[in-house]
Amino acid sequence: MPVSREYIVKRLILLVVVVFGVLIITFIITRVIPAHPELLWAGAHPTEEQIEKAREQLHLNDPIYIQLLYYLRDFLVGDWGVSWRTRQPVLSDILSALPATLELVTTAFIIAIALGIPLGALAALKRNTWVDHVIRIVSVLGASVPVFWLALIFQLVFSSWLGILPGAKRVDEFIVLETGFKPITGFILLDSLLEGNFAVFVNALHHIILPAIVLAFYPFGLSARMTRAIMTEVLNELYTRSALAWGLPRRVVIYKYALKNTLAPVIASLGLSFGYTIIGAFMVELIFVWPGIGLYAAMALLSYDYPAIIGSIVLVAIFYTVINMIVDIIHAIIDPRVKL
Amino acid sequence: MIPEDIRVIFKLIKTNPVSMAGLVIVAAFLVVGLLAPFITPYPQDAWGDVYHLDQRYQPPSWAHPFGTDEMGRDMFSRVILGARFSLIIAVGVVGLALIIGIPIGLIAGYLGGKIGTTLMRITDMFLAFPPLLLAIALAATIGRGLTNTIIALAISWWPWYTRLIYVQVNSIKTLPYVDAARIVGVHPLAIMFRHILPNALTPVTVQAALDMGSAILEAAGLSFLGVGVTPPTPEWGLLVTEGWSSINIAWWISLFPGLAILITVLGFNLLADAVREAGDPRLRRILIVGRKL
Amino acid sequence: MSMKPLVVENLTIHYYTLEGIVKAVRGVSFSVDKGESVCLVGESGSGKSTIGLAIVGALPANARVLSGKILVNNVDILELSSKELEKIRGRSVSIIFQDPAASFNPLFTVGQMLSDVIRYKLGIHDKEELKKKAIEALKNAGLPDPERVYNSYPHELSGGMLQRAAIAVALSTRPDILIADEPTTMLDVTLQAQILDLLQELRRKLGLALVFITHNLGVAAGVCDKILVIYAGAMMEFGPVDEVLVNPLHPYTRKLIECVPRSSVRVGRLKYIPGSLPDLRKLPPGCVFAPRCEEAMDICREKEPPLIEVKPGHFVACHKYKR
Repeated sequence: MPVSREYIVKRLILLVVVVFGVLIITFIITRVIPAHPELLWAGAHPTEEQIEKAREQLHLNDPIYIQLLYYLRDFLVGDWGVSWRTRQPVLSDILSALPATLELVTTAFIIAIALGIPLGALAALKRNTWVDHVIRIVSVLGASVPVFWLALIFQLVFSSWLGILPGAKRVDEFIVLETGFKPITGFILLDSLLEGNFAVFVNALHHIILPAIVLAFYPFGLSARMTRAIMTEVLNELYTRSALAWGLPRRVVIYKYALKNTLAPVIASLGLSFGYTIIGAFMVELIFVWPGIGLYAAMALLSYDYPAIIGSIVLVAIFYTVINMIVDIIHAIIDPRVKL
Repeated sequence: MIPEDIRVIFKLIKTNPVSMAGLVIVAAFLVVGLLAPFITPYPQDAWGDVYHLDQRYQPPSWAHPFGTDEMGRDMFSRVILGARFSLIIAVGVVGLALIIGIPIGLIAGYLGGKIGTTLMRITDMFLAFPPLLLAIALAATIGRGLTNTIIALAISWWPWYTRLIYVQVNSIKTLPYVDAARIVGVHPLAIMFRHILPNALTPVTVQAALDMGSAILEAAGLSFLGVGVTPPTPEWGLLVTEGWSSINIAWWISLFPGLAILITVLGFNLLADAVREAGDPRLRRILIVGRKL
Repeated sequence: MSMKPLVVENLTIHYYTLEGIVKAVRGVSFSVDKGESVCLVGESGSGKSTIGLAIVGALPANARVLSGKILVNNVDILELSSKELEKIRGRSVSIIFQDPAASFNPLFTVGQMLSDVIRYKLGIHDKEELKKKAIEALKNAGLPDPERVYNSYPHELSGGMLQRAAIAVALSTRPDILIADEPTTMLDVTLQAQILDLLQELRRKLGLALVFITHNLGVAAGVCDKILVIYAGAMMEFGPVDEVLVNPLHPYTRKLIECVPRSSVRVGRLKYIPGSLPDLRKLPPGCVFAPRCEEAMDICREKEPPLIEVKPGHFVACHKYKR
């Protein structure tokens, strides 16, 4: 069933409201809560001059609501401040780091749901058998492991000790230079395929395996646990039992009917899974020196580069909001009962 | 949820070895967390205010089951004491989140109307941030340390409980006894806190107790990103981070604190799954015998 | 003697729960002929719905059939593999439930559900023919606008319409036996009568063997040829509807009849049976109704009364009667 245009318009309006809310909350955190915001914005070891400059840039001499208006205007026109670490405008830093993160997060996310949803469903169907127990333990492990620790251990074992996979960066520079690879979109896997540059593709694929698998653990665990719980519930609903009683074959009831009932709420929760993945990327990118937003934000945090920190956070929050909107629309397509 | 339910939940947990493992882990964590300062083999090493240069980077042995760190401190003692800090953080985060979240959800649910809607809209704004992100922003602003870590996490945490309470209150406030109290002129605050809250509280507190695992995990994440607790506090996430630079020569420094996080959070999550399933009356019926459809 | 479509013999079903073993159904026997309707009457929790679910092979996961036979067209469905059971369901026996809204999958239109049932049961794959059959089934169930119902999701339809749609689905495959599990309990009184009339009409037209499950003796009186009174999972009385209602033998049946509100009687207090159903996990020795029975004798608390045929076709399980 197609979703009505009205629903999508309402969802877009809500998106604008939420983004506005996100900006206000970040404004409160960065400007209202600290006693001296200028000290935060003036870099790690600011001079008097730098502090004074920061005061001016933040319009701290104006009333608070004027400050808010300047703040909102700056974000809307793309003036997100200058990073102390890179000396570049924060927005351009972030945008150039975005494709690397998207490539990693998307790969991890696909691994997570491609394994998590079928295994969760299988566990529900084989409830209380050893298959169920194994899947349940593995999925709960996935949702319990500190991602940065797992990254360190995987890097140590598979890269340093066994030496079977690279443990840092997206691609080896010498291959890029040798083959004359020129990125188009910034997604190396995609670009190398488009150019038919298989040497770079294989190399990049090798590089992405470790960080993507590590990053996939949490969303895998989340989606598998969720699917198992919901599928168990759905299988016990009257409508499932009535479909069987009316004579539909078991496989049809499970794979056509119950699976759809399970997928609707699981898909509705994918936004949250995606949120965990992108936050996990902050830590995984730092460990695997993956040049994305996560690495950028983590480096900013470690070097007190406040404009870069807040810029990354706002961008990730807005991105997450958009993802959630898309997820909601997909959910509405599947479930006709969904109303705004 | 009523005590009867809790008894049933406990009974269910006992029938499932995996759930039982969760319960045992959580119980062990609580005991170690409470007794930590008294059971560490090397208390001074645990608190981190000494160093033994002659004992640096010792691999695991009988004297030092988890090895020693770059200051020669006994990692086993540090990990044991770490349980205490993880417990403080976990209780602090969910406790503070409950203190913020419950009144807001209660008021929004009871009053409803414009005030209720506005409060819930604000709550939803906080949920528009992906998990941990808001805490990172706050921690970067208010600075590091144990208290600030708890505050930062709690501020990003309370909306979940507000929502839970809100749903509960909405279903309770239409019950006859609440109407009766309103008609005889009981003060709204008394209705809210004395008549509605006690009946809405159990699911939220149970949820909060089970969320302690996630709080431990997220606090560790903050430590790793350099916006969590400060050294030499033996918080597990920080211990892992401190071992990072020497992981190629002394893998044990990072390994064991990470395992401690993993096992503890695993325990809470296993227990949470068991309680969630047992709390669902429809599921409860089929949990005993797993016959195929 | 012609073969009866449904024969239930000595059926005993237990539920395994956390709180112990619930003895839901104990030694229940009855049979239903073509075009005949038998009512299972009892309070909620008496095990009557469990019997209905057992007949369609749709018991919940924690139920176990301990003994007995369910002969559907002379085949014991309890002996069948799940594959063979799948064939019987819908084809030989079908069911409608108390809550029509919960018996339809919320994510599929009534038409999708109905077409699938027809496709897999009747082996029709041609899309246009499928739709024609489905619309026809909905029309036969007395739905005035079958096209609209066909394209609707369950949440877009009223309870009465959904119950008609459920009847359409259940009968679209021309089963010999229909189980109607309290099909009118959740509907308004005016709708109740409509649904009952529809079931009666279809029973006559299609020669259905109808098992009607209700807690309402008044409804049973209007629908059934035979009544089976069930209490705490055990048969109390079984016989032709006129016999049982005019000349009830079991004290429990008499109490039930007294409890039916009648407009002809002067307005007074509604009657009820003091006490409640016994705990099905710890049944008292002797007759299960004895604790609530005003006429209970010593033997009632010691020995379970056997089911005896007092008059031809009229059975009762009570120590007051001798063979």
